[in-house]
Amino acid sequence: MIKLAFPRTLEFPPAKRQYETGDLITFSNAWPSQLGILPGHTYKVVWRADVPYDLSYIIGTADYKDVNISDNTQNNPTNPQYENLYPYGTQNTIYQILLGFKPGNYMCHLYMPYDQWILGLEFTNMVPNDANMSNPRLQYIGSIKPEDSPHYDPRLTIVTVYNMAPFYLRYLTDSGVTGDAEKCITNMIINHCQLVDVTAGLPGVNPQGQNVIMPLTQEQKNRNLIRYVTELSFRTRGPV
Amino acid sequence: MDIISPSITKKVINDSATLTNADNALVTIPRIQTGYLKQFTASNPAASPANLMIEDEYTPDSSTNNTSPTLVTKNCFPVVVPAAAGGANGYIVIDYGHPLSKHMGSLAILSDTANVIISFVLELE
Repeated sequence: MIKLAFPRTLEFPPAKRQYETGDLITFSNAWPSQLGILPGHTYKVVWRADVPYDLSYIIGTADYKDVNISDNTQNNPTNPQYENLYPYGTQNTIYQILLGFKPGNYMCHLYMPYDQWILGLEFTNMVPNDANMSNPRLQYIGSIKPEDSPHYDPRLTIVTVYNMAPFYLRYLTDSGVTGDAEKCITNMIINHCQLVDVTAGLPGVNPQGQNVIMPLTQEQKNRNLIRYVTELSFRTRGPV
Repeated sequence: MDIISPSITKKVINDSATLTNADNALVTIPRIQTGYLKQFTASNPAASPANLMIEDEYTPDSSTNNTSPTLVTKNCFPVVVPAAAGGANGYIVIDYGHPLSKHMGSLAILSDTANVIISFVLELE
C-alpha cells in the first residue's frame, strides 16, 4: 500500500515503479473486505493511464498542515479538506500514486487513519505524534524529506482503493525557514489502473494442448504483493 | 503515455513595467512553482533618487491552530535607484545571487517615485 524505496544503492537502469498493463497485483489477506478490492485476490491490470496532479501548500515556520488524500472526512476532526485521490465507485480500479517532492525545508509524515502514524520506532517517544511536531529533534522521526523522494525520481508510492480509510500527508516545516514560510510542492503521477480478478487462474494450454485456466503460481501471486497498513506499521503489529 | 519521471520544468519570466507613484507591480507566482529573482534593473528619470521596495506576498496554509489565513507581506529588499543626472536616467542592476528569498505567492514592487522603469528576470522551477 505504501512503498518508499529509500536510495540504499544506486539503481541503473532505474527501477520500474509503476504497474503496467498486464502486470499481476495481489492484495494481502490483511486488507479489509468491504473495499473496492477483495483481500487475498490477484488482479491483472487491463488498462492504465498516468494522470499528473500537483499539491502545493505554503506553510509558516514551525507549523504543519494535514492533507487528507481520501474522498471522505472520516476520523478527521480538525480539517475538512480532502483531495479525492481515492477511486470512486466499484469499477475495479485502483490508484497507484507516485509522490515526488520539490526541494525545500520541509518534511512529510504519513498517517492512516487520522493521527495514526505509520513510520515510527519502538521507544515510547520515538514516534511522529502531535506532541513531537514541535520538538526540534523528534519531529524528524519517520519523516520523508524532499531528497528521499525527489520530484524528478519519485520513490514514495501509495496505492489507494475505493472506500479505504483516510490517508493523511502531514507537511511540516522546521523553525527558521527562509522568509518565515516554505512552499511545499508535491508532484504526483497517479497511475489509474483498471483490474480484472484472475484469482482463479490465467488462460493457458495444458500438456495435452487444451485451452484451460491454469492456476496461478506462487511467484505470480507474490510478484506485486500489496500489503495493508496494519502490516506495514510496527504500531499495529502483533507478536510473531 | 508513460511518465516514469516527471520532467523538471524551468521557466523564465522576463517582464518590465513602468511604475507610478505609490503604485506597485505585482507578479503572481503559480502555486506549483517556486521562483527566484534572477536579475532586476531599474531606471529612474526623476531628478531625485527613487526608493523601491521588493516584497514577497503569500497566504499561508495551516492546520495547527485553525486560524483563518491572512496575507503575509514580507519586506524583502529595499532598492534605491540613483537620481537622473546629465541627461541620463539613474540606473541600478541587481544580479543573480542577491539575497532575495524564494518567492512564495507573488512578488510586489513598490515605488515612491513616478515613471521608474523596472525589468526583471524570474526563474521558476
